[in-house]
Amino acid sequence: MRRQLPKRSCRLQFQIERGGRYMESNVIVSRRKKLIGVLREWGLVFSIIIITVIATIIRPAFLSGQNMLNILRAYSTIGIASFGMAYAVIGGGMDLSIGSTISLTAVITMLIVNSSTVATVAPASAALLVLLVGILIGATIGAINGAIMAAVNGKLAESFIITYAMQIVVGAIAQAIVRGNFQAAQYRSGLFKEFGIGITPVLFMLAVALIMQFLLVKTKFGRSLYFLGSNMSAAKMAGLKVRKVRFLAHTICGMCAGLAGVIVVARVGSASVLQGQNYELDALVCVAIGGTSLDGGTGSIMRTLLGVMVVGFMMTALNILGVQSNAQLIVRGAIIVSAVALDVLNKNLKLREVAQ
Amino acid sequence: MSNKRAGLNKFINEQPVLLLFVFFVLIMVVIKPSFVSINNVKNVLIDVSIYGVSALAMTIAIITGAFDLSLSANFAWGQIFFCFLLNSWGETPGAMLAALVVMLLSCILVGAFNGFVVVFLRVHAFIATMATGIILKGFSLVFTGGNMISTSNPYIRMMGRGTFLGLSYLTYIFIGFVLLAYYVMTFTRFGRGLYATGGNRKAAELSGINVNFSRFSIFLILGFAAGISGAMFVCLMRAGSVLYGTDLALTCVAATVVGGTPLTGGKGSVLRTVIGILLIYVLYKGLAFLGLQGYYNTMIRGLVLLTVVSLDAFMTRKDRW
Amino acid sequence: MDDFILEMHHITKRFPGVVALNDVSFKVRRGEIHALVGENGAGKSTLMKILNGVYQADEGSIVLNGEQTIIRNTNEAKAKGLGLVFQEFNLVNSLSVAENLYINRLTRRHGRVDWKGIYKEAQQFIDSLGFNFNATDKIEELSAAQRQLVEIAKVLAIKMDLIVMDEPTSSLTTTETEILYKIIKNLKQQGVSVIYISHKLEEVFKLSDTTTIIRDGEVVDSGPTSTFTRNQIVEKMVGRSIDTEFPHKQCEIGEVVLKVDHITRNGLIEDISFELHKGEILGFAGLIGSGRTEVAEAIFGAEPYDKGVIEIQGKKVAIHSTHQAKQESIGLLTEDRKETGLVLAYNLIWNITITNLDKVKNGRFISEKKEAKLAAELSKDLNIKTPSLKQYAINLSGGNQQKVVFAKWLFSDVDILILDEPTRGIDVGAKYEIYLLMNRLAEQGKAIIMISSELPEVIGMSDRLVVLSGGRKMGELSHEKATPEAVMSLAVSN
Repeated sequence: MRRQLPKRSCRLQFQIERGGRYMESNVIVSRRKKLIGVLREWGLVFSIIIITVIATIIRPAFLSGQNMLNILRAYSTIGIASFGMAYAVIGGGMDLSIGSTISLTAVITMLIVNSSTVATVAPASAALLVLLVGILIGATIGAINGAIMAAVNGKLAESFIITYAMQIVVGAIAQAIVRGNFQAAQYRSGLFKEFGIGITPVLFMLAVALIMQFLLVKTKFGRSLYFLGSNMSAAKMAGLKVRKVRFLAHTICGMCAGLAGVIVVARVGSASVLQGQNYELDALVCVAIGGTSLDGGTGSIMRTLLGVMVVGFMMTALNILGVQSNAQLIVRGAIIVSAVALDVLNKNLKLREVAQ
Repeated sequence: MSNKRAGLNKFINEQPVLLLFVFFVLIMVVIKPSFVSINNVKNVLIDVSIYGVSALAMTIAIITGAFDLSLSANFAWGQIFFCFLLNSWGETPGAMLAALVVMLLSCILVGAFNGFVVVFLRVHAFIATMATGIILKGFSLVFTGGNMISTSNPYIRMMGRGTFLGLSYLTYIFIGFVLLAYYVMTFTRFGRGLYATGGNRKAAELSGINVNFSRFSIFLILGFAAGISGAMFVCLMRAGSVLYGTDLALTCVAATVVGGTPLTGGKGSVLRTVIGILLIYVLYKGLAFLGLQGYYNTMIRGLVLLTVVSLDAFMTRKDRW
Repeated sequence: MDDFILEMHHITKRFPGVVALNDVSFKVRRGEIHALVGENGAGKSTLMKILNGVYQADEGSIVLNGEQTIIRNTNEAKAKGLGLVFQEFNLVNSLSVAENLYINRLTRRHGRVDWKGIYKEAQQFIDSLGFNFNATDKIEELSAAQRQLVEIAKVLAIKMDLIVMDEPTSSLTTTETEILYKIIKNLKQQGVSVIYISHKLEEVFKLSDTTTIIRDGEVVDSGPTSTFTRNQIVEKMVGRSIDTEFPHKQCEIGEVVLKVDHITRNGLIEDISFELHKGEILGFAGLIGSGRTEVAEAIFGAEPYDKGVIEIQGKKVAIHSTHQAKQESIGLLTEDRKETGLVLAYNLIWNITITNLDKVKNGRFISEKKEAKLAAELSKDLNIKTPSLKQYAINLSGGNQQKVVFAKWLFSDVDILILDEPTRGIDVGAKYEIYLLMNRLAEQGKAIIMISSELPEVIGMSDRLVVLSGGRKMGELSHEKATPEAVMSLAVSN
């Protein structure tokens, strides 16, 4: 005798994890709960809108085109780094060495740009040279991370510790190069400076986003990356080149960090060993807010881009409200915890819709 | 092959990290024999005593299958808050004790938050504790305004400087904790339950062990240890700052791994970690002694950590293809 | 008046989409050995899990010792005198045998754990049972058979009224099995009841007083074991005549496609050699732990091998990775499709196309349209029952999930397929479909290795049979010579 369904509800069947064991239970859920799933999908867009509204109320200038551009430009480098982090996370790992990679790249970029020999070469070539060098440095560091991870068949835990150790080493290398000095910009005007002005950084970010999203969705590598992050054993048993994919993912992540390092220098006009500080944290926040599960196997670059925008708008709004940078650190940490907790909660309610 | 030979071979196969370390240390002693001086030994012992308490807790956590990246931030917070309270509450022994208790409670509270997020919200320990560490670091920065807090409490000075039979008071405190940790892990049901939880959580649960309680208490223990380390640090340096001890968490992990406790959990021993942390600080001291300062020092520390952890991960990897 | 230690009345248990148990009533007398037989998925495990508190029945009641009770979890079951020996091991590998036996009840003296006493008592207990390992041995050092014995010892260590054993001899050799029989007979003498779940009907006839047969969630029959014949039990388990159980294959057996010479993996398998022909289904029989999966892993490149040569189509190849194996046209359907065969979180299209993404490309890039189309074709061909291919793999039934795994490998057009327990956990109807599929693939010219622990299946489906025991190849049997007795005697030989 089937029970009558109360109004405004739907029958969802859950497989709930309780204390590590799966229990099946038949639950009648109000339509409101089903909205939670919808919220995760569109929540990002909602958040951007809400934050924008609040900030505009406080300071009407917030909504100006110039301001929007400023925010996007300021967060373009974080954005690029986030895309790299997204690759690492989707693949089931993480890259905590992004910060130091950016510092190192920034420092070396500054050295090249300021060196007298380079100044005599045509500015356009210098700019391209610096870009290439930056990406190459990032690629090298990423490749080392990737090689170690591939050799130890590592997943989340290993990637944490190994990339963190890398962060320390690379940070120290950057310091050794600079000998603790703070370098100011001295470059002539030229193509390099253009990288950091106007809409160019944003274009860089969008270009990188498009390329990386494309790779994810349309190539064997991208699909393999998803599988690797979701279930490494199944990926291996399906004949995927697990080690190669992991190596590539970390290398690409490093390249993103390298590129971000170059653009940061162009934008800010100076480089110090502290340049990259907290970048990996911000990148992680953007990825997490973007809805990419930190367990791996899901997510996309486009969502990470939305995440960057949310974070950018939110942090700027906090600035307007007068919140110190130190306190902002608290906010970042809190975001990570909430985003991940929500993600886990969502996973534990594996919705199984049965055809009624 | 006699049993002894077989046992030795097994040891070599299973503990290459430990042997590597001993090897490094021996090289250093050979290069500069003056390295082995009473002063150096004393200094190393003090470092070991301060950070060793946290390392013990981290080892217990790793055995249980948990992790705490917020240890560094909690350690810094402990120093800061302790100095703050000491400055606020005067210079009587009673004030000092009160300050200690309150500070420890705050550190345990941080641990409780970690425990809540990891055990009840079921977030991965790595991410959760990393996030907590960040929050705590931000909070500490706001609290101190980025500055260092120092204290001139004479009792603190005495604790830090005082010695008994040549060994600092701090060393005795450390030894006390080592014995306590060993006892709990070997001779109590709770401690053995931690091994079971780390070895096979499902089996532990099915056998009736309260896995959630065990894992939650681990974080409380970690918080407490961070606080103790912080207090001991203040005794020595008579100051506290966010800048001190930023790589504590990773050093503790390294000590655990060098000592031979695998990161996968379920086995290992706190006594081994004592050896691990001894070796690590001997190495650090050696690097400083050889004249390496600042960033070179950091670089080598980082490389050491990288090598040690990579080697451990390599040896415990499940897919041997 | 019979003295029943356990009565389960009108138990019904539903899961999403299926009724696992339908009005099942089941009674066990004090001091009797009661066999519970039925196919995989018939409901035996579910019934026992309800008894053990892992699940709660939707309807019905449990009466223990004359009192109605509710069992909420394993600890309560234990407290009420019910012990369960699982099929999967629930041991902490890094700890010792003694510590696993005394887990959560380590004895204390003067407030501290009394290791000396624990080891002594544990060793005495182990010796009294006739087992051949030490209390101080770490579980990770023991063989699968010894671990099973530890599981059994765990349950025997505490005084129970009723012990459930689920396939307890699946990992044991003959000697250990005999020891277990003695233990069970001992228990009966002590007045302890035993529910014995087993596929091995010889054991059922040897040990049990009463037999209950379950099929598709309902009790088909129950009564004294002596009143049943083997055929009767099998027919009741299966529900139809056993003659039509395995479809007949008609095709020629062609040339050798795979030749394996002296493959060795230290400590796991030794000196394995055999040949595989086009159009052939080669069965791999043996007890659990005999090394069959290890051979498959070596050929598929999932695990390295220490010695030996693999030849494909006459060409020597050294297989170093699964990718390479796939290139050499070898595919492996793993034992555990939920863990390593599928990614449950992804939809069917993704799961099917992952082995050959080149095929779904339009030019250099993946075309989702092409992907969906090709996947749909294959899905229809294999008769995968699903409302949509965008369905997540986790939502499919076991049989359909296995079909998806087949589809995955067919998508990459491999010529050699290794199937590791292809019908495990699948209902009878779907099993038959899989058998038909296997035959069809062989008829198309593919070469199949079928690893199976179900004797009737591996005998019925294969053209030839290789039998492994303890990591070594014990013998090869042609279809005619492969009788259950012949196979078993090779499988348990040492």
